[in-house]
Amino acid sequence: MNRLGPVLTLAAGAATAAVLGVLSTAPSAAPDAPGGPSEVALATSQAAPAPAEISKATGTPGAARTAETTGTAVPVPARADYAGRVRGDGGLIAVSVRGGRAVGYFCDGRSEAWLKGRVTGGTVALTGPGGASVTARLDGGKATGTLELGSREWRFTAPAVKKPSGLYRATAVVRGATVRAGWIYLPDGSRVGLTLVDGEPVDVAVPEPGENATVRGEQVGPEDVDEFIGEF
Amino acid sequence: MSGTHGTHGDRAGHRTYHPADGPRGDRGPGPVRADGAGVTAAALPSRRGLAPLLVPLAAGALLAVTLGVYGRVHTPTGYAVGPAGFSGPLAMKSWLTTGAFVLAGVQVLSALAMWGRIRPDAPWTGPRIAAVHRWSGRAAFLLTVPVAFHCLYALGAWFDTPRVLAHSLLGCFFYGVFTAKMLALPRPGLPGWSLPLLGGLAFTALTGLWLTSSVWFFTTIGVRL
Repeated sequence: MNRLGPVLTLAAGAATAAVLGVLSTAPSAAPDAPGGPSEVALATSQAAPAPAEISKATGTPGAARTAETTGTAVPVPARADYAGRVRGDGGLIAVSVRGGRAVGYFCDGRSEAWLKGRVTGGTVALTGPGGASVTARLDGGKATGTLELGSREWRFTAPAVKKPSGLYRATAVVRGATVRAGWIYLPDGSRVGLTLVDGEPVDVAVPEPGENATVRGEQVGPEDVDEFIGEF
Repeated sequence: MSGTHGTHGDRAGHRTYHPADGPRGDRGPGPVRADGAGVTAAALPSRRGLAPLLVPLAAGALLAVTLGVYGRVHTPTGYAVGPAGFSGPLAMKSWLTTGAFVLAGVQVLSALAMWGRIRPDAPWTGPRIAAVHRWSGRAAFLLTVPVAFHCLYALGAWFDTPRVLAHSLLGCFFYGVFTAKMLALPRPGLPGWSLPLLGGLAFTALTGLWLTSSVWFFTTIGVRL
């Protein structure tokens, strides 16, 4: 047994990894399993981690490329908007900085998370309900970091973007129901959003950037970050 | 299991040729317990060089590269099964890594005692220190496995920020050097510096991993379970 001790140690580690692998690939491995608190703002079906449908619009690649190169030398931008993809998930994420404050929004069309926090030393740290967190380094004209949502965690890179790309929010009361929506637009035309009516997701098309959405027959207008960051 | 006292034989072979052994003779505790004349005799032709290290080093290098390649080519899932009870995967990984780091401190101290560099005045010194070393090492290693599994399976290896670059490379390196040490342990005829070097590198890598993960998490997100 003497000589086997170290080998058994390695084998125990490998076996542990194998068990975790089997459990993680099992169909029942629900992405939101381990008793997390109230899942991030969205409600219904998240059991199937199917790729989200992010409409790849035909439109306007527009003023985007140039935006990526601006602000490269600024270590802690006083004002910046970042938007990009979450790797491996298919959702989009937006992070906006105004002074020392920052807001973030993740959405994959079915689930979402609003986060807020601060910027210190070139690093933005945001938190949101349900243990959601975003940490990102703001460097080289992009935000690179980690998104944590309940029991899920991803890396992302979000280049700096300029209007009309970026993050928008809408809040309204329509016939007594509270409407809240979040939309993210990327320079390549990708867009994603989620509209909640009294906390329940409803099927509302993501409008063109800056245009109104129609919720239950009424127009709901978007606010950009400057307009709503004060309420965070 | 290997918890019996006989496991010291693992080290007796190589320990006998350590240059430091000469002046200290047989007064050292722990691994200096050569198990028998056979071991001592085998120690005499001490010119075997690096040959006994080749296979462990090659296996460790192969594992490190394999983990890195897997982390690069595997599509991140964003989710992996792990220990429950934490607020999220980052907290889980931060605390398990902190536990492993604390145990790694035990590793260094117990190794120093085994090699006679320190003489702790504690009832569990002597032969028992080797058991402390073995089992704290095993516990530390097993604590890291769910962490590394989550990192590689759910996230993958990334080089996009300095912290993540260092963390990804150190993670692969840690398992490589740990594997090399485990495979080297039972081999007779190791150069005397082998185990301190491999162990020291494993400790250094784990410290770097802890700094680039747990300390980062506790300082940017906050200390939370």
